[in-house]
Amino acid sequence: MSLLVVEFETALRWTEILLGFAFAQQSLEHLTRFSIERLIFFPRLVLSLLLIFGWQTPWVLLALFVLALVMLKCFQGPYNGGADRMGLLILCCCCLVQLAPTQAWKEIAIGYLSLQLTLSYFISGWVKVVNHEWRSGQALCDVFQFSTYPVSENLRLLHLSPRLLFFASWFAMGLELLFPLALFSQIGLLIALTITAVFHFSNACFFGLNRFFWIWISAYPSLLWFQQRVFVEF
Amino acid sequence: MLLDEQYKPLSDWTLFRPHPVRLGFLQMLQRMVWNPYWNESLFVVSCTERLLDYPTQHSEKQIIKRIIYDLCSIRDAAKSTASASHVQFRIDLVQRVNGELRQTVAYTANLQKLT
Repeated sequence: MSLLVVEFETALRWTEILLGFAFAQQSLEHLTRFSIERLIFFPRLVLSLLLIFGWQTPWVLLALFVLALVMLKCFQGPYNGGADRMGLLILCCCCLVQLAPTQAWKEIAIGYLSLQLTLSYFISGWVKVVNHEWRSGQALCDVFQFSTYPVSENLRLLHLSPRLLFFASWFAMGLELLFPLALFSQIGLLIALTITAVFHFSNACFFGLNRFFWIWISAYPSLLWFQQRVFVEF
Repeated sequence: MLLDEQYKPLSDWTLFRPHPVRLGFLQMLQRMVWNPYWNESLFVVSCTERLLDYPTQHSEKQIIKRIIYDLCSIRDAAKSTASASHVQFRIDLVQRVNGELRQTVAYTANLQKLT
């Protein structure tokens, strides 16, 4: 049974709109910095807005892809780690949809994005659960105690609550490892995506990872379509 | 660390971009859409990790560029740093070894002229 009917075109359009918003937000942040960055990020901002409004989408996506390569060269890799990698993955999949000769290939491109999104959670959970320090809660204590991530000094005091961080560690690992199971039901997936969005939001609040929040949720419409296509229509 | 023309230290090692003591929920919400300074600091952290794994001039340049940018904006207001002509940075690594925290100097960059 399906609560929500997600057409391929609708999922793709929402992915492009959310990707455009995420790229625009990133680009605006760079405009206040160095002049060399403005040369890259002002055109990227304009292209992101065009992507949101759906004007000449194939060419806009191609231009954004070229700019992504320029950014990789300029920063000798991703500027913001995983957030940039995920942005590049979504962008590549949207470009592949435009290049695909048939509907089946378009669906494979978005299906690939959906699988990667699912794996991004599962592998992250797996890496943690095989690590003794994560299972004991020590890793999260260390993140708060001395890593560069906590956004303020008072948040570091959370390392003094090892029991809380033990449960938080297992909550994160459980959520990430069980995420693929949510694909078996649309309502399960909607609940899982709501929880992961809150998870990304809390990471943004605790560790300042705002870009991860915007870029990860931009892939959610594709996953909603994929779940319906694979687990409902078949 | 800031140094004068004769490379004499004018100050002790200072933490680059220390975190605020407290950040309210509204500020955190505002950072959801506008967080350039923090994201740039995360990029600097990436550059330090790259420097430790496979040192390149690019990573060192990216870090020093941001240190000088910050220093120059502070220098206009602070006379104590006005006599500085050079700057140097180092990377301290904090690790848990046998249950105890250990801090080591993992990398010390070359002196860089303040321009």
